[in-house]
Amino acid sequence: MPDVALLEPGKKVLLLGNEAIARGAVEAGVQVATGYPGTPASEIIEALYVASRSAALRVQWSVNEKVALEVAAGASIVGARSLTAMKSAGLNVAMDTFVTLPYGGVRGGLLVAVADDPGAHYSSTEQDTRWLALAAEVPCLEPCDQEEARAMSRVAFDLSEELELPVMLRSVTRISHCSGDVTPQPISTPAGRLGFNKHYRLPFRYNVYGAPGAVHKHRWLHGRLEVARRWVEECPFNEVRWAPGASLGVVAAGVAFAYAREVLEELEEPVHFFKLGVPYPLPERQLEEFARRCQRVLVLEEGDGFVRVQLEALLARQGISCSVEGKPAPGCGGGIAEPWGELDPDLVRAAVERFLGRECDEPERPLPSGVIIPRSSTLCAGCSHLGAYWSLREAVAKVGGTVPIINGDIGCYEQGGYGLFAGDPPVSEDISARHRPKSPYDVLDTMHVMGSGVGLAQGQWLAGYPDGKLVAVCGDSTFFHAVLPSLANAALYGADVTVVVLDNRWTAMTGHQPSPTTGRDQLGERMPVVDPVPVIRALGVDKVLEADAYDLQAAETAIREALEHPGPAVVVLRSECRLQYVRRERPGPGRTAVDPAECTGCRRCVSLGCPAVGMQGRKAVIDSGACNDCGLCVQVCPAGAIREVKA
Amino acid sequence: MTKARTEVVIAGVGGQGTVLAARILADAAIAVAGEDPGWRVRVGETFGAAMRGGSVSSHVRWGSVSSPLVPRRRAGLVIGLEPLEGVRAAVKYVSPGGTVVLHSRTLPPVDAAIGLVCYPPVAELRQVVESAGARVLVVDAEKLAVEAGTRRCANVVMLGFSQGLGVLPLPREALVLAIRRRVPSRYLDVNLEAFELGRLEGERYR
Repeated sequence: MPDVALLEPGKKVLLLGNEAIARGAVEAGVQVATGYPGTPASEIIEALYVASRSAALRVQWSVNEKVALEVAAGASIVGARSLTAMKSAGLNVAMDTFVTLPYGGVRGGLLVAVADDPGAHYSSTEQDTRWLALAAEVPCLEPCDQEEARAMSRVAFDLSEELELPVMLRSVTRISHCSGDVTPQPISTPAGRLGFNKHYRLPFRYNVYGAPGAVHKHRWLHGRLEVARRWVEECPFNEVRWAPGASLGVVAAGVAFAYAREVLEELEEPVHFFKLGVPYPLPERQLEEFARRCQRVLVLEEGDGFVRVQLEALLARQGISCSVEGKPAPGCGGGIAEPWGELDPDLVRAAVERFLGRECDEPERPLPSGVIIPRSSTLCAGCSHLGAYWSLREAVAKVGGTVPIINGDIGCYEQGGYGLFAGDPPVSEDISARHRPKSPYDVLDTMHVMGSGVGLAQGQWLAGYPDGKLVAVCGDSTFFHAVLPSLANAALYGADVTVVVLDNRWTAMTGHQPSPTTGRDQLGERMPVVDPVPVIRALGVDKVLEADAYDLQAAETAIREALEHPGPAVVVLRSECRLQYVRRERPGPGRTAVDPAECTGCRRCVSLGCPAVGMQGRKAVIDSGACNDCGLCVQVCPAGAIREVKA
Repeated sequence: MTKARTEVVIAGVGGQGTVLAARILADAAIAVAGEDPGWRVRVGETFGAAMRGGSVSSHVRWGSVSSPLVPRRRAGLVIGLEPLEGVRAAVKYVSPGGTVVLHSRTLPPVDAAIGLVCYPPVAELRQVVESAGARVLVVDAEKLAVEAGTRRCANVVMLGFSQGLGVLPLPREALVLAIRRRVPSRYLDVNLEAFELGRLEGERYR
């Protein structure tokens, strides 16, 4: 990853969208940056960590997004330019603070950079975060490419200081996780010293409850939005291209503009074209003028019909007769594109062609399904979660009851609920049917958001669920992010649930950021380790067990003991993420091998779900290039046919 | 009016280096483009959810472009670092008359290992692409990568092969510079050698 603080101004360079956002913040002289890892947003903070080596900038991965926003807001209130970065789901965690902060305003520019994930490549939902900017009543900028991401990130700090409000930058996967040419601009140093004025321009300025009270502060916030509306009409991010003789118009917001520009260039139809860079508040005067010159307007946007709904309301209010097409609003039908799924050049082309009344000329080639087989997402070769899920399956099969419920959440271990894509999962109405997982990929029964499993398990217990044991799994980073209050709740009410903490010492899913159990920061500097075990005991859970996920017998025994314990019990399975171990120790190619003479072809090793273990004919084989010598398959082979060959 | 543009899709399995290969192409494209304001470079990637083992692909586009993704049937070149993934991408993206280069080394998905489906013979995969009107070349990139020093640089062998074949409109020097820029120094010599071996192999098929 490049040091974005060292890029030469004026020289084009390829940057990931997230790196471009980081560069823009460095150009604006950002002083404090915080975040919690979440794909596709993580590289913003990673890039700022790297930049902190050469720029005067303090960076931290906070324990969760709410804490991250509060840390950035605190810095802003004493006058530091601050940024906080998170994915869409992360803003939900920070929402309480996010909607309250604008009432009191901020001082140093505060940029809230949020990356949505239309298409749910890496997320539980396709949430369109622009609604949350509207709910919090703060401006939202939406870049069309990496260069504009840099420019918006830079300008956002000035805008935030002018408005005294946080500013949201809404990215999406195809901005954050795509790269484009970016031309860096010079780095500025923020003026002004740190300080705190309790009554700056308002009594009890940063105390929402203080006189004259929250309603007055809400009124002040609306006054600031009027300033934002004037700014939006003049900012460089909205642009109209008039087509001579056209009576139709296309409004394209954010990345939709990148798709629409190519489509309109190719179709060569006369269409007025509005590039929209600020979806909230809208540049209303400009859009009114645009719509007055169009009979029909097509709105292209990534996510929900957020701009479409606002534009329709605006035109109705102003009595402008132009019709608006586009994504339907949630709950309404009749749109030109579905409100779910991600845009791509073909969908945008089809939407524009339908809008223009043209035939779509290039149908998709069918995928020959018998030949092009699916590829399930898997855990890595030698992943400690393979061991954890094996032990959990074994323990639950023995003492879990008829229909135990395994509640999962978000992290690498969420793949325990992905299922196998090639399988045809049964659909059944029978609530007492027993299902045995065939692989680690169909272990998890519920999965929603970080920490949700621990709460759901308690609800199942409180309702008096009769058919089996109630289990929740969570990772080490998730444990500190979202599980602590839930576990305190379980201890308080004596919920008979078993929580398995899969402590692999890293926030691995999002690219191996440090967690509180890592002992290192993002740049490899030593940090304190927070041990979950004394924390769990202090919360009031009496039954706390520890085991190594790579010791299948010990892990199974610990989980069984926890399952059989009446009341809350926690098992901490400690074992470092195998990828991180291998990267550090460089043990060389795998030495674990199957002796074909002894292999009975029972496929028990294959059901471990490790991508390094496969079948060749009737015998198991291990791919030495992929194998990380974790020893799990050696333990599961009933014939003793798998051994680690000593060098 | 379709302005000049080059579109490449690189597909493989997580951990094979599709992202690195795509960024090498994009860096080389930026170097060639110079400061022409109408010229842009875009790399669209899908990565992160599956650190290892899932399908991943990168779209690399340069010239008169703004979208980060290749429209269907537009890629003049599809590079498959794994045959099944190369063909999965080619069915959607390769243009009629385009070229598909496939690394012969198969990485069967866990679905096949567990016995739910069978991995198709490479000949059948080849047939799928040919019936879409594209040319297919299958390369044993792993052999050349091992010759260069490590099997891990098969991705760079495939870039070299495509350049040698003449289906990548980027000069050798620009790609070598991009490799120097992107590859960590301790692996640089091996990757430069891998690129060269791939390029010479590609020239044989010209």
